[in-house]
Amino acid sequence: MSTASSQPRKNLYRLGLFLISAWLTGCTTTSESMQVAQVDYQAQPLGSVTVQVGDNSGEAAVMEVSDTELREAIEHSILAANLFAPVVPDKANADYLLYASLVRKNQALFSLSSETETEMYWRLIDLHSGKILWSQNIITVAQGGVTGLAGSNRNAGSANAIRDNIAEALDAIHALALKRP
Amino acid sequence: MSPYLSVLPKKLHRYSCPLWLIPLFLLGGCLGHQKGSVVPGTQISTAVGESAPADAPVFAVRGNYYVEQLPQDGRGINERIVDCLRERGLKAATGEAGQAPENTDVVVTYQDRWMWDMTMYMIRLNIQMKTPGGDLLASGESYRTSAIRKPPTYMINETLNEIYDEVDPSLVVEIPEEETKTIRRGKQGSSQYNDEYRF
Repeated sequence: MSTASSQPRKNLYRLGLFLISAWLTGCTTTSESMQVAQVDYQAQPLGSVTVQVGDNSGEAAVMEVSDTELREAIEHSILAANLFAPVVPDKANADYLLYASLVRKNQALFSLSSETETEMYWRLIDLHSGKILWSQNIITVAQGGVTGLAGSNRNAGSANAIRDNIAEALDAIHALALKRP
Repeated sequence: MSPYLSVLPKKLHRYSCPLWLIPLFLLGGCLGHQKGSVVPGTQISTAVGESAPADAPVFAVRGNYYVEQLPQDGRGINERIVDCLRERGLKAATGEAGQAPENTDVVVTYQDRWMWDMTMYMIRLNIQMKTPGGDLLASGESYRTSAIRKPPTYMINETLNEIYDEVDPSLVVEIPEEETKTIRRGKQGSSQYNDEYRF
């Protein structure tokens, strides 16, 4: 095959790869880690817990948080805080159910400010008795980073606000002084 | 021979051009989704005036709804939500946040996000149902990218259908045909479009 006839086909392949890449960027998220830093409540874990995330969590868009990311951040934070252990994937083997829903996230899309306000609804259920032990709406506000990239700053603001929200929720649960089942 | 073709068997070379289109079809889920769920531990009450245990948040599905208007909502989404609830035979009103009447059973909040692509369109709608005390009862979401955009009322009905499918399927309605028309280029000001499409 001559070079002249193969060049348009090469360009077509490159265009196809570019279009696929452009398409894929709309399906990825660049959220940073939302895991709460190591906290030790100086107590034995309360028992096993399963984490369920509400459908309000956004997904597949820049600056949004996927259900999986939010759930993993909560699970890792629980283990880091030594509040519950182990964290199990389903209700059948759990003592408690911790439900979290990202109700609202206010963040300016076209602004230099990376301030993010996050409202999350939390509920803790004792799976043995079916009773709701605690529920609360928690609102947190956080700033993003100070890098030169506005998108990066906004992502950091989202992560910081959610991390603060998770930390407040864990503090509130610890304050309940629950007993092991 | 092109280096890209060399990885394929010879008999597939003639199909090599459209082969890279296959991933595009696999990514169809990125175009949109609709979902709804009830918060664990919520008691569902589908009868008017039915009493329920006081130790759990109660979703009085047939009760009185109050839609809290977002301060920055200039498109009347709250009024459209009220209309969609009333079409299901439910009592609904709207007003400012925190001004719900005393006989309110369910407080409805929402977040709408808009994008621009030739015209403005609603890309995502989230609806939450809460008790007057603020306990979340159920939530729903409709997410539609530009390729499959729908009018706001259609997305509101979609989201409500997702929620009611979980609590009371008799409140799931078929969305009218006239609401399924999408915004098309070159048809600005057409008589078949009403104020739903003008922003």
